[in-house]
Amino acid sequence: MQLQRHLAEFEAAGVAVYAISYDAPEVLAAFAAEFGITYPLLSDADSGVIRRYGILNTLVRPDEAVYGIPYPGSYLTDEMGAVTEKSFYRLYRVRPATRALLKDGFGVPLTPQSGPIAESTAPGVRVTVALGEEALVFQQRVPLYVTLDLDDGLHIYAPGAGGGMLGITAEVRAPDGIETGTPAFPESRPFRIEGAEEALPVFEGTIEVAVPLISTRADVEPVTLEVVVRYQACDNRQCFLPQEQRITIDLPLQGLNRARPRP
Amino acid sequence: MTQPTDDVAPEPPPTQRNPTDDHFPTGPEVGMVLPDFTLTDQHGNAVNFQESRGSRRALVLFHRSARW
Repeated sequence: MQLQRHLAEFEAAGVAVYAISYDAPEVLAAFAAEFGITYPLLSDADSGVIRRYGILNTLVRPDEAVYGIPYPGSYLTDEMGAVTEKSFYRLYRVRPATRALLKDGFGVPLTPQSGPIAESTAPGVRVTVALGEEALVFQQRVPLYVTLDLDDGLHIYAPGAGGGMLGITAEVRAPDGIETGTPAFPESRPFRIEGAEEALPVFEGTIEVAVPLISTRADVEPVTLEVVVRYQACDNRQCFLPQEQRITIDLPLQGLNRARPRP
Repeated sequence: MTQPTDDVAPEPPPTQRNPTDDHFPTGPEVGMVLPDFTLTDQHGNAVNFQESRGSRRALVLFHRSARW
């Protein structure tokens, strides 16, 4: 359903969408009618494709009614049909959010930002915190994007840069029931400050850090998170003292909307 | 030290369908061409993956079920 909401964005980006399950076509027809699904819901009723792909869930015994289900996951392909990325998660409900797929999987920029956003500014460095979706959804992986905009001529050091420099850290402080994953940093580039012997990994320009958030909260009260970003900025000649910026952001929560077509 | 008997892991119940660790099969690898398929859609039409995709990129999702 979330996918349907963003289908136009996938189409605009030239991405064809397919969803496969072992349900009979009639079940898929009922589901599509109830939720207005227009992309292909495909029936792999004998699990033939699921088996051929090697993703049959073998934890389910053949005598169980749900035998034939796959390990749920997704593949992204390029124009030639080759897999560029795949996401399989141990827990079914923990899966990447739709807009994150568009952005991280297909490089589609997320504009305009429709979700919660907050920012803070220190000399030379502006920090923006934005949720990748409109809300946190129960047990769904939603990225929180922490973006640093550096003035021209400034650079900051990558995590664990060494050389006595403080590498950037992005720490998310969340209330109980909001799990935070490991921050994903972009590629750094080596930079040697004048007079220094060794090159150290740095970032320049706009640096986007993605921190996965997973809500396991049963309630739908909004939550407040604090993001603490620490970094050390330098220009070509000198380095400045390590800085810390703290940004608080309020995030709405959305309950799980389970889809059950009526028989 | 003796292991208390109630610490012995019970047989997984029939509803245990999630892998207990990250070692489970995830199918075709990155770089491989996704194996083609022809399946029936919600309108009863046969859909061939490669033909319908044309030269577009694709997102292919495998779900447990639309029922539950």
